[in-house]
Amino acid sequence: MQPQMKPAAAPVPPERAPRKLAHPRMRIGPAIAVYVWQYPLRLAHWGLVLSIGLLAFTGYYIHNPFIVGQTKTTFLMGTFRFAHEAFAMCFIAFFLIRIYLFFAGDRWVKLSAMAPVSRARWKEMIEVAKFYAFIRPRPLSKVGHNPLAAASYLGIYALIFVEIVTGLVMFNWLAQNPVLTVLVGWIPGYIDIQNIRLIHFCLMFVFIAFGIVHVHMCLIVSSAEKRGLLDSIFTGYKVVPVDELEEDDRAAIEAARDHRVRA
Amino acid sequence: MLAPGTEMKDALERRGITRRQLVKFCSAMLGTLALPDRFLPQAMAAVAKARKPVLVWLEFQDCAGCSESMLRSSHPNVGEAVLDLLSWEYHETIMAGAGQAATRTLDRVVKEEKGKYLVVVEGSIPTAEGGIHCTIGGRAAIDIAREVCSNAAATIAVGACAFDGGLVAAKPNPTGAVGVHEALPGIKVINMAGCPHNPANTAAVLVHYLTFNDLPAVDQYSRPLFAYGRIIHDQCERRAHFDAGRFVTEWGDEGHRKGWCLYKMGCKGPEATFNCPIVQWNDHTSWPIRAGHGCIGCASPRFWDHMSPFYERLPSVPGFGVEMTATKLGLGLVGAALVGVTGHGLASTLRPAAPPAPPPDSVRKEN
Amino acid sequence: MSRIVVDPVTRIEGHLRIEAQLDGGKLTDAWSSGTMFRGIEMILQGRDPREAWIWTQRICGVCTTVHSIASVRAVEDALGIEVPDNARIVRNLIAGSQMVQDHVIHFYHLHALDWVDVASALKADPAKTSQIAQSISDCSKSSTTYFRDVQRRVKAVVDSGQLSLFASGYWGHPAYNLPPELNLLAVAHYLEALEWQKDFIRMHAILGGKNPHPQSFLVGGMSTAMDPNEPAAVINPERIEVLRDLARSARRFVSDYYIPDVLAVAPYYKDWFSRGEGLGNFLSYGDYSSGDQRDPGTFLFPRGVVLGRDLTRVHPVDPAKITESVAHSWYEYAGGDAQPKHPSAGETNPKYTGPKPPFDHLDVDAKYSWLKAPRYDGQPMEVGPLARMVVGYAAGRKEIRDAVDGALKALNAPPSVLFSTLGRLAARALEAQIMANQLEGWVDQLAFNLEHGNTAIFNAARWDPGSWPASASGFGLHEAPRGSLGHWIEIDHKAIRNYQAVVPTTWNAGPRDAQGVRGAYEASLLNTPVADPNRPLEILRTVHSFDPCLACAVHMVDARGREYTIPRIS
Ligand code: HEM
Ligand code: HEM
Ligand code: SF4
Repeated sequence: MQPQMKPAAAPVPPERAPRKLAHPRMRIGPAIAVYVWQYPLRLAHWGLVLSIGLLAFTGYYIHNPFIVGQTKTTFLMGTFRFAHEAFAMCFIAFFLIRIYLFFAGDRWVKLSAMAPVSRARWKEMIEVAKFYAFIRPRPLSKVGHNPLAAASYLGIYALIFVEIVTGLVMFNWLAQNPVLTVLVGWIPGYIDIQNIRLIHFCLMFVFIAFGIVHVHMCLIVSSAEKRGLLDSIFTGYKVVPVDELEEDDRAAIEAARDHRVRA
Repeated sequence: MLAPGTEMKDALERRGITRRQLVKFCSAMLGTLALPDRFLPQAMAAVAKARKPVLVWLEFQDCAGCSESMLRSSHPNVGEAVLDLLSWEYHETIMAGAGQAATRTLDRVVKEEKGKYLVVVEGSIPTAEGGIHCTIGGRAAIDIAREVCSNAAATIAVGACAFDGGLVAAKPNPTGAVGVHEALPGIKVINMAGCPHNPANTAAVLVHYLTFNDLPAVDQYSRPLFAYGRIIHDQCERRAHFDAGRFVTEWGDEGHRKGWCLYKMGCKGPEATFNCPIVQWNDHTSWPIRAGHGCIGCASPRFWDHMSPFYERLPSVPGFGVEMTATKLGLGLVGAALVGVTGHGLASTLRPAAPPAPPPDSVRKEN
Repeated sequence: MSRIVVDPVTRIEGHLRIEAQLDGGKLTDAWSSGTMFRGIEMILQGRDPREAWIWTQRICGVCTTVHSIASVRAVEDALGIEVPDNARIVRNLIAGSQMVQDHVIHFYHLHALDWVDVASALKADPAKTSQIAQSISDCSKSSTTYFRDVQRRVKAVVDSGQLSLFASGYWGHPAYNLPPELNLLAVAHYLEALEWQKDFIRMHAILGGKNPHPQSFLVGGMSTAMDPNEPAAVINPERIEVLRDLARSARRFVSDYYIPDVLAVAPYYKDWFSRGEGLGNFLSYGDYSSGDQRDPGTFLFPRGVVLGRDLTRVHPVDPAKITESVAHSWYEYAGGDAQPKHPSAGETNPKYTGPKPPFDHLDVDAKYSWLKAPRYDGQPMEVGPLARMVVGYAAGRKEIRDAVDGALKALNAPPSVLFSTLGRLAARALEAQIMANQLEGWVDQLAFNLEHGNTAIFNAARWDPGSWPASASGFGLHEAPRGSLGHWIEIDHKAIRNYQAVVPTTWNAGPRDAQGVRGAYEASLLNTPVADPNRPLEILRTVHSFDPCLACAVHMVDARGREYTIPRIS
């Protein structure tokens, strides 16, 4: 997929920018809106967020049926289990979209852009951590994810993968589907089905805790760097000072054909 | 087609069984094995063979519960199994001879019936300290097992202990107990897991062996599929209540009296594979869930460690002791996240204003 | 002088080895050794006390349920839980039916072949057997045709040359005294009992889902929910009827088969009324309450100690007097092995010092068993049906006196014959009869409660571990078929810290103590004549008369610290 970058045709009008963007003593310069999160990514993100919520709710009911049915016609557990399995299928679909983007997505969401593979990125991760620990005054701003966030997202995707696999093992425990049996049927031979359940259950809390911390981090960073980080997961755009763009970012922006001004 | 030839009639007479008994018995067996009626003549011919196959039953680190369970077998009943179907020549709990007379019998079977006899093993085999935790006639269990099983046509491991060490191998496994297939890798063994094994299934395997001279199809744990291929939950009489969301929430409550689902009381039916609900126990009289108690998954691999705590939905989280449930741990994690986030958020409001941004070039460097 | 080794001792539960010294045709010394160890104590530590019964149940599959009962009682004692009346009745029914069935299996399938020569049954005249059968019992299965069929079946087995379980018996041994007709009768009843026991024990299936290892106990009650109007309830009027039928069948079987058979066989073995007398000390904790389980006065089998065959005195049970010695057991005590320890202060540090397998002989001067040697007030004790009958007789319990006196009259013998190999056998039969007569009464009580709206089966007050104190300890006692059983538990932070079981067969089959005093088996074998050292049938007769259960006996646990007290009987 072509990196879609929408450079500002004209710099942001200086008289508008200061109020919105900067600390009183911050340098004011031209900024452009960059289309960082293409819609499949946002779709995957919100799809995952929504299905995690529904899966956690239905899953917790499966774990501990807190409503006990009274009449013969209720089909409570059956409904919850059906819902859990249906949401699980959506969840898997969103996850697969995201996996596809790791290889075919924009430059900022590619696996290669997110994995903490270089020494420089590790150093940057420390810088980010320093900001959270109040050692560094300003967040480390990046056009895409900051390296620490990127690494934690990869971690959460790995756990999502584990959740899916354990879910499928349990699904197949009942369904005994031949394809799934080949794919995951061997797993209970190594990790007992009860421990599979335990993992599946415990990860639910990990996702919820992650969500809490993650939203908080986004808020903090968003308010500190004033680049519309929080908005970006809805709109796709982040506002980036032109002179902070890396060389290759610029090149990519030049190359992009669709020029549209965003402030 | 079903009428046995004169040859079989003679054989039956010699054995003191009527044809009616035989038909009844073989049909019951085929039923358990889920085989169609057309196998009846074959089964009958095999069962009525002039020379009965020899069986020896070894007991190691056991509680004799599986022997007792075999005594409760109804199709065939023990009398039939022991006298008519097989020649049951060694079985410490019930055999006539003792001491040398017993061990000599075992030696004779191993020598004279080499490659033809069946072995049933009950109980785990200790491997720590050279096997001193179980000796019989002065010999270590593992030695006896090796000699007897490796010369047999097939080995049937009955009960959880012979399957994978069972209770004896539960943590911390003080005697280094293992099941037969781990103690004697490479021998032909079929596992009749369960605590105890269900005699109906074991009898069916014996008849299958007599009929087809081979063991039935097995799963990845060498347990016969006909008995271990489906989860209990799918065959449970309380399943309708499960789906409806009607659960026992306290022992003896209204739901308990009405036979509602035991899921919330820790039932392991959704995990356990076994045909317990179908064949049931003691001549099809009942089974644990019918008696109001949850399933403990006794036919599952390493069930003592994996399925306990038996009154909780999930195992306890390793390394945290019985008091710490996964829910507590998870809520703790979420709580910690909330507290951390709140604290961090408050601290952030006090964060001193950032100093003026350095010129672009130095930003680069800093990054 | 020669050494006889019987290993494996068969037709028992577990792995027992007997070594004995033969001198001038008589045994001059004997050593009893348990040869299997599992270490269930270590396995239990750190687990949920509410499920301890599921684990301890697997100590033994022959006396299945007895450890469950002792275990739930121990936890209930520790947490101060009182169980509803219905739970007590259901437990009595489970334990009582276990007792009857176990005694029947013991007599017909484990012990009978010591007295009955199967081969000789072929020579019997079925018509005469039928006559005998009809003269001793009202049992309907006593026709000539019936016995002829049995004989034919046995003949078919013998003719085939494949003798199955009977291949290795001591057939034709001079110590077999029964006439062929009685042998045939016994073989027929061997098969009858095999059928009956599996049918009767459906009582456990109804009340526990399955047997062996029924699964319906709960700390605080039972899982057998009761409802008079619910088809799916575990106990409802329909199930009560099945229970009643089974209880009646127990009574019939014991009175039609078991008792007449014992009385018919005994006269042919009169000398065994003076052999195998053993220790003469008897211990019974007592059990089977008709009201409050904590009040021994309500017990069917009373609590007490009888010393030195003195039937005129019943001593109270004082558990502080129980000690265990490891002088000849494969364990180590930190303070030295010579000093016995009270079980509540006991240690279980397994340390095998026996010969490396394969071996021919144990070093009986050193340690030679996986069993410890329990002592009461420094003295070895016999426990089991005989102990219960002796204590009950001495205490003057009517049911027990009537049963024992009746049998003694039928055999025309004085009470002193009780202290013998045959005495044990007879006591077991009488106990089975007392118990079988009792079962239906319990079913009636259950039915009464059901009809009158008392369906409480579980006390939920302490089910949630959140309601427990930080630590607690308690004990549970039970009279199992083989004798007095006690479980001791220590709970710490909702988990088992220590678990200990003092088990009937440990009392009976234990080795010598530090003073060299013999255990019950060892003492009872003294002076027994052995006709043929290669076929030591006589040793088996006496050892079997105790109904050994070795899996139970191998000592359990590592308990430290606390003093436990059992209420004394006044
Ligand atoms: C974030 C995602 C998910 C969460 C939070 C979640 C949560 C849960 C929870 C709490 C349970 C109950 C576990 C217990 O037995 O105690 C459960 C059960 C289950 N989950 Fe998930 N789950 C998720 C994703 C999935 C996925 C992707 C699948 C894939 C098929 C799946 C399939 C299942 C199945 C089959 C069960 C067992 C249902 C049963 O026993 O009837 N789950 N889940
Ligand atoms: C359980 C809930 C959530 C999970 C598991 C989650 C997961 C993620 C992941 C994996 C990413 C990286 C996207 C990628 O490159 O693949 C991401 C980014 C983002 N999410 Fe979430 N999210 C959750 C909830 C939310 C919520 C509720 C919000 C909004 C209020 C939010 C706002 C954002 C933002 C602003 C980004 C971009 C952040 C950055 O560049 O570092 N997330 N989230
Ligand atoms: S009682 Fe157990 S096996 Fe039966 S439906 Fe409920 S959870 Fe499943």
